[in-house]
Formats: sequence, structure tokens, C-alpha cells
Amino acid sequence: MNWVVFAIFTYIIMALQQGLAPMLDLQVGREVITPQLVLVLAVFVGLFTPRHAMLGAWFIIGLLVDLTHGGFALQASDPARGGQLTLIGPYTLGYLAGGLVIGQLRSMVYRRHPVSMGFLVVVCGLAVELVVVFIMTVRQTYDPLMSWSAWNQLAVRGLCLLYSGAIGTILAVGLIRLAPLFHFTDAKRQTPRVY
Amino acid sequence: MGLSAIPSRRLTLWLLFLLLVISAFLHHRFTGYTRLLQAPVEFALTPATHGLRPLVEKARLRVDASPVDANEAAQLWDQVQLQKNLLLRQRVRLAELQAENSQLRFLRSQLERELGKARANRIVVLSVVAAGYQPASHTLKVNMGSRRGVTVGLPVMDGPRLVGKVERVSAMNAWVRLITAPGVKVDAIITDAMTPIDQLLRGQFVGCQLDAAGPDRFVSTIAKNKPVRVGQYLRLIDRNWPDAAQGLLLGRIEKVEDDPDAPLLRRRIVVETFKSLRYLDRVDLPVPITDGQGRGER
Repeated sequence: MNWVVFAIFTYIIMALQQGLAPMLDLQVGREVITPQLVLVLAVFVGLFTPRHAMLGAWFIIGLLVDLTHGGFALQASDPARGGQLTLIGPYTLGYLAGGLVIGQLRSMVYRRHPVSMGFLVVVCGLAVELVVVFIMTVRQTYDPLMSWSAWNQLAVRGLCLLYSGAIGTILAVGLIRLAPLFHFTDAKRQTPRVY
Repeated sequence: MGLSAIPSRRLTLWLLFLLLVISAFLHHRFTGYTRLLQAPVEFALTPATHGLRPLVEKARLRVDASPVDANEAAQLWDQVQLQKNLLLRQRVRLAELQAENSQLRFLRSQLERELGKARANRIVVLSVVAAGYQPASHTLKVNMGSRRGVTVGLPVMDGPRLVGKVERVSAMNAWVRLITAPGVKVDAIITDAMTPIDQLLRGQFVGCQLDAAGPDRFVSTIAKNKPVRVGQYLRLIDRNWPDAAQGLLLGRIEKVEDDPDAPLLRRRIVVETFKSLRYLDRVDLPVPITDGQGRGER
């Protein structure tokens, strides 16, 4: 994979995610459903990249999401530090889990079909969100967040993933055409690493 | 089979994984190091997101506008004359409102004098460069940080309306937690547009605690005998918020109904903000004037 092209695309998608995502918001009851464009990029890279490069890419994307997603609201606001919690780990670990899931599933789907990408966005996103919600729920025991409910979060994040899957299916049409820019090496031709 | 048998690359990956796990479970007191990584990422992303933000505002306005049926265009044209007349009435109303506005300004200055808390702040206008995009992030990122005097805890406003509070500051940016974020509870008073100052000072107002209940909505319950009606305003009066935020508008009562849990005793009020806070393009921040700084205006 051409990492420079990956970096440029990641920058563009992160900027679109932060800047334009509110334009695509849907309001469902009390919650706002936002599509995860970054996850779509991660799935796109995950479909065509060899395993190690893919995990590296998902690690980088997860780290960026950890740093930019806007933080969690702490229940106990610290006057000096504020009430916002930014952690490195939940999304990075979540995206690594998502990378492992796509590594298993990608051989079972027709990679160049947009619906495959939409489907994988939902499934891999579920792995990501399960890890994030698990970590943040465990943290509740000693560092509580404001109005955190695991079931509510899973429901909202599930809706976000369905929406992201729909957006991902549409974006896949364009992204697959741009695949040659990434110089993907076919994952199937990679020789297994021997330790 | 000793440690040397494990390839160094795999060992590095396991160590990295372990570090991530530890980092994910660290108490918030020990997470200050994240700012070192966060600052350059935000610095790099801000120019791109800042450029995109006006598009959000425009698109939102387009979505909010009701579509016009082409077949009704002729009828609409006929209504233009009627609209002209209405505009003339509006002009008269505007003059009345201006008079009312000046009266309100006078009342506000009187209130400040009475409370003895003159606000030594200068209002700076900040551009919103991004919004939090995960379900648990009800935040806005603005384009000024600690270098311009922004500190944690400052209230953020949109004119006379309260938007939220600064929750984290880097050198170049600050993150604002929206007042409507889940879990936020604030004390407020219910007022009319022209509540006399002496009534407020004597404590003759209805107080309530608002719970955030959605992207742009609060709910509250009050005793059934309290006089409350649709269209009244809610203003923040909460000792947990800074002086500069006191009295700012939170929203307008859109619905008054019986509380489902105690319909004979209480009423439930639904309050909606004046604007959709998540889509704001600019916000105001009262930055305290320190020694050596002059009092500036917007």
C-alpha cells in the first residue's frame, strides 16, 4: 500500500468527518446519529491490504479517532483540567479488534461490491464499538462518566453503524474506483510470514 | 524456550498492545500526556475543518427551509402585496421592540449594579471549527485556545443565549461542552420577556432545574400551582456557573403538560433552545480582562 496516499486520504476523511459530519446528522429521539466516515475508509483499506499493513492502518485510524472524536464527559469535573476525558486506547484497541474481524471476514465477501463494504462497515464497526463501550463501562467503576449507560450507548452506536453502512455503500462506489491510487498488493498473494 | 526466542517485532507489538490497554484504563488524573499528541493533530486538522464549517451552516439552512411548490408560485405572488402590508406592520413592531430593547438594556445594567458584580470581561468571537462526532461527544471545537486567554470553565454564548462551557483548552483550540449534553443539569428561572427587575431582586420568579433531554431540548418538572405557560423564557441562575453566564437565555418553553409520574402534583415543561447548538458557526466567549489588557468590544 502506498502510505502517502493513505495519509492524504486519512487527512481528507478526518477533516470531512470533523467538519461535515454534522451536515449528515440524523436526529433519532434524543440522540444524534452521525455517520462514521473514518470507519468506511478503514474498511476500504482493510479489504485490499495485506494483514500487517491493514492492522497498521487500523491502528493509526483508531489512534486518530481517539485524539479527535471530542472526548467523553466526566462526571467529576476537575477545575484545572476540565470535565473532558481524552484517552488513548479505547478506539485504538477497538479499531485493532475491528481489523482482526475484517481480516477474518474479507475472504468471505466479494470485495469489489459496494454492498460488501457497507456490510463490513456494520460488522467491523460493531467490534470497534463493543470494545469502546466495554472499556468505558469498566471505567465507570472508578472514573465515572456523565450519564453513561452501556445499553443506551450500544443502541445509539448501533444506529450510527447502520447509517455508516448505508453511507459506506454509497461511498464504496467512488472509493473502489480510486483503489489503484493506493497501489494495494493483493492480500491473497502475500506469502505467510515465517518466524 | 526463553525470551530471546520471541522475535523482537512481535515483542514490540505485544508491548504496544499492553501500553494501549494500560492507557485505556488510566484514571483521568493521569491522562495529561494525551494533550501532547492531541495538539499537533488538532493543529493539522483545524485549517481543513474550519473551511468546511460554513458549508454545514448553509446546508442546514437549506434543509430547514420549506420547499416551494412550483404550482403555488402564482398564488404566492398574489400574497406579496399582503406581505408588503405585513412588513409595514413589522416595521412599526420593530420600532416598539427597539424601545423595549433599550429598556431591557437599562434593566440589565441596573441588575448588574444591584448585584455588585460588574463583569470585567471582553467578548471575543470564536469560529466553530468542528463538532464532536462520536455518540458520547457533545462538543464543539473552537479556534482559540490558551494563547488567547481561553481557560477551562468559561461560559460560551451565542449573543444572549448560553451555548455551553469550555471543558478543555490547548494552545490553539478549545473544546466546548454543550449545555444540552446528556447529564447536564442546570438551575434556571422562568421569566417573561419583560419581567420587572424588582420582581427578580425580590425573588418573585419560578425556579426549576433543567435536565438536558436531547440535542436541543431540556425538560423539567415544577409544582402544579406555579404559573408557567408556553412561550416563556428560561434564564440560567446557577451558582455552579460563572458570573458571566448568569441570566443568559437557555431556551423557550415549547410545551407544558402534566407530569406522567405525578399528574395531580406536578407539571412537566419542555424547553427548546433558540438555535440548534450543534450547527453554530460562531460563538462568543467572555474572556476575563487581566491586568494590562484594555476592555475591548466585540
